[in-house]
This record gives sequence, structure tokens and C-alpha cells, in this order.
Amino acid sequence: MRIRPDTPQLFLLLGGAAILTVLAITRLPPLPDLLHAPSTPFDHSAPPAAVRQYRLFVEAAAVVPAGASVSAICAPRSPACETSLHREAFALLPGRKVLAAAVWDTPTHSEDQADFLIVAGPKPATSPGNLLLETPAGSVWRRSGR
Amino acid sequence: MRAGLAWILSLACCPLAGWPLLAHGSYRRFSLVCRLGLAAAVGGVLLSAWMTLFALAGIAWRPIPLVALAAAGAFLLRFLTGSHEALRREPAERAAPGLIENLALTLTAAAVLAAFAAAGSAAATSPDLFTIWGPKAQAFAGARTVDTSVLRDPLFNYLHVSYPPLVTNLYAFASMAAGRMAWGAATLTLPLCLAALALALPGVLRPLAPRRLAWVASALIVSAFGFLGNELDVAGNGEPWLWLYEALAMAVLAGEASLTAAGQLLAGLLLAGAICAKVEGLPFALAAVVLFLALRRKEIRIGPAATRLILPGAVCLGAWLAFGATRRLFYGYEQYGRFFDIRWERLGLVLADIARFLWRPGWALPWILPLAALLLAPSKARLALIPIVVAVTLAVFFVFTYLHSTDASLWIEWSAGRVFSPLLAFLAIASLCREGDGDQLEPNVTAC
Repeated sequence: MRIRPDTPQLFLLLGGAAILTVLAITRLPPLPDLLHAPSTPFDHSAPPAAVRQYRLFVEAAAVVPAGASVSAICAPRSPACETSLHREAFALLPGRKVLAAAVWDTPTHSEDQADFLIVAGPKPATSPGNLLLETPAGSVWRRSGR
Repeated sequence: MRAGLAWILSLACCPLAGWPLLAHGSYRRFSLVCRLGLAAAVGGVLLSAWMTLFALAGIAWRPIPLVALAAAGAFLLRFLTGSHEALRREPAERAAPGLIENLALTLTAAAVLAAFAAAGSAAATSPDLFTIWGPKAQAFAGARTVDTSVLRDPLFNYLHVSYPPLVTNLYAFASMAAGRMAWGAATLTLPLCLAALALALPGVLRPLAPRRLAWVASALIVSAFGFLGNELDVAGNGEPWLWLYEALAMAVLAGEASLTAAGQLLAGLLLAGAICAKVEGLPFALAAVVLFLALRRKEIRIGPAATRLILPGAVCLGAWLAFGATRRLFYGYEQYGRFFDIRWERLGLVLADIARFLWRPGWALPWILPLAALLLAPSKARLALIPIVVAVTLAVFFVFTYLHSTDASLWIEWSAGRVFSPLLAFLAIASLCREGDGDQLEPNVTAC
């Protein structure tokens, strides 16, 4: 029987597709995790800290009303961390006026003007206002006198 | 959950919008399934184009009129396809699929399902979805237009103000339909784009090679993208859309369908999708069109062919740039450094970094396998030069871009796998371009 000239190419393509599909399947999370909906869109693709922050913002959305100004800060304070927090807050708190505590790793001090404060990390030693929410990832505060 | 379902289901408007064009007789050469996948891709381009035109004209977005206009536009485009007899020939191979074809279909389906499992379990989510694509789309949906107040604010420079609009437009469309941005649903655009590609690609590759070879090449491309989708965490960002448009556009251009008015129009619309999905779609489209016109100049009329290939992209990108200019937001794409400020002394480091980070996802197998298939292919046709030279051009372009950074290592780490990923499809398509094979048109219908 004569072998077609494209047979090696055919089997390479087919074998390649099989290898890549098997590799893709082996990279999936364990079966139990595939069978229920993830709690955040980051569950298996980001560091645990990012997942916790996502949850903090989702829970904060329930207590920070639409139209209010809000700022997110880190404890301890870090301009780099607060730059990324501002981006997450802008994404996950639509309808609120999100003030950046830091931009491009530079502090802006705009958080002083916010009605609500989201603190990622441990509860601050001095209370920035009335505590509205506390989770393992952080806390949400309404600033005093606002 | 309900909003997520509405969000993802609203994207079914894409094939609805594109179908009036793909239902035309000129495209009956492709199977129904293939045309469905192509209609999804074309519908996405038309929907996004109307959204950009509405934004330019200052008209608020409303989902139903947008879909109606996109579908009407698709219908009107039928008049640019020329005689539908030209491509009406049925595929020659009517035998039932054999073992190889069935294996290819099974692998393709498994790859799409694996991508669905990866995205659905939040294992492939792109961080850029939350920092760039999603927030922009959410703001646009809220404003029911391209939100200039956000784009103008220096605080939001990180959103890449001038970035082409297709993905954010379609996400904004889905968010308007669902009532809010659904982050989890947005990650499912990875398997959705792969599914559209899996539907369309085997049929589009069919004129290039015997059916079994066309289907296994399609299976390789889909499985490679599925694997990379999880490895590189691209669910929700622009890559899956770029894969869809670039792979299909290249497959159409490399095949005989591109010698007809209908094929050129289809390729033009797919190129427009690539141009508006990500910035690297523009050099891809320019290289592909120039090579196509140069290599096929004796078989086509250059002027009409160039018009059909370029006009859709020119309209889509032109509307976006006109929007930016009229709102004094941007006058072109943002730069990644001064053009001639090239750090040649870093060439070795950049190449080493690229090799290192392409090796990471599966020992570079997604690129090595199609390259090996190309090297093994017998009697390569001159047309293989289109995908090969486009792949080389893009690779040079990416290296050139990286050479503008004082230290590109981190940049290469998070972007090289993604930007080099479409090249694997070009290599696989090139491996199918051979002399006197496939399901080609009769000579008397090739000229347009």
C-alpha cells in the first residue's frame, strides 16, 4: 500500500492536537472545583490576596450607595498597592465616585475627600469613621461628619 | 447568574446580525455550520462598527436598533459580493467523514469544552479584564456611548484611551442588554470565540487541502488556542477575538475564495475585526493585504480587490480615529516609545526572553507543532508565502516594539505568549498551502 505524501504531516497535526488538548485538560482545576460555580472570576487564576480583595469590593458595593464618593486604601499604606486598588474599585463599584488615593504609585491624598473609605488589610488603629463592614480582607467605613 | 446569562446570550446577536450576508448564495460554497461561525465573526464587526459610528454621530446606543442596523448593513453588503454563481459549487468530497475526520472533530470539541471548563471555573481569567477591558465597557454601557469623561480623565490613562474599540463595544453591548457588566460571563468569551472558530475554520480551510488535512489542521489551531487560553490567562481580554479574526481572515486569503468579490469582502470584514480587536491587528492586516495583492496580482483586478479588502477596516478604524480627533482625545495610537529610539544592544536579551517565555506554555509546543507541520508539508505552494511572511513580519514587529524599552523583561513575560500566539495559526495554515490540492474553483470563475 502506497503511503500518501501528506501522511506524516497529517499525523503530526492530529497528534499535536491530541497532545495540546490533553495538556489543556491536565491544567484544569480539580474536578470538584469544576462542578460548582466559582465564587469570584479570579478563584483559580490570581493570588489569594486578589480574590480576597475582589470579595471585599463586591461586599463593599452593598454598603456604599450609588453616587457616593469612595476611596480605597491599603493597611499599611502603600502607593503601589493603592494604585491597583483604585483600578479595582473603579471596576467593581460602578455608579460611585471613586477617588484615587494613589496614581502611578504616587500618593494623591484624595482619599481625604471621600465619603466612604475601603481599607484593604487589617483594621486601622485609629478609626477613620463609622465601621460599616468588616471582612477578613478589610473593612468599609463611613467618614465621620459626612 | 441571570445577568450573566443575559450578558452571554446577548452575544447571539452577532451571528444574527451577520447572517443576512452569509446567507447569500456567494457563500453557499461553505457549509451551514461554517457560515454560522463566519456570521458570528462578521456580525461582531458590523455591530461594533455601528456602535462606533453612533458614538461619532453623538447618537445614544440602543441594543435593538444597533442589531437591526447591523443586520441591514449585512444585507446591503450582499450587493458587493458580485455574482453568486461564482462560488456556488458544492464541495467535491461528499463521502461520510472517516476516522481521521471524526478524531479531528472530537479533539476540536474537547478543546472547546476544556476552554469552557477553564473559563467557567475562573482558571483562565485575564487580569486585564478588570483593569482595562471591563471597566471601559462598563463605563461605555452606563453612558450608552463611548464615555469621553472617563477617557479624558488623566486618572484613567491606564485604560489605553486610543485602543481600538471592538471588544469594549461588544462588552458594552452585552452589558446594556444584561443591565450590568457581568464579569464571570465576560470570561466565557474565550470558549465562545473558540467555538465560533471551530465552527468556521474547517470549512474555510477546506479549499486549501483535502478534507481530512483541513480538519486536523483546524483541530490543531483550536486546541493550541484552547491550551494557551488557560496557560496565558486570556479569558475576557482581546486575544480570543483576535484569534478568531486573524485565523479566519488568513484562511480566507490563502484560499481560492479570496479570488472572488464575495471572498474578498468576507476577508475585508474579518481583517476589520482584527484591526479593531487589538492594536497588533493593524500590522497584521496591512501585511496580509499587501502580500495577497502582490502574490495574486495576475489573478485579480487590483483596484476592486484592494477596495474590498481595505474598506471595511478603513471605515471601522477611521470612525474610531475620527471620534478621538473630534473629541480631542487622541489623534492616533499611543506610542510605545519614540520610533527611532531603538536599543539594539538589548536585541540578544529580548530574543532570549521571548524564547524563554514562549517555552513556558507547554514547552513551546503550540508553535513548534505547526512549524513542524509546515516543514513536513509536501509540494508547498507559492501562496504559503502569505501566512509565512505575515508571521515573520509580525514577529519582527513585536521584537522591534520590545526593543524600545530600557528593560523589556517584565513586559515580555506578560505579553510575549499572547502577542505571538496568532502566529501558530498562520504556520498551520501555511502548511496546508500546496500545489493542486484541496477543493479549488474552476479556472474560469477565479477572476473577479
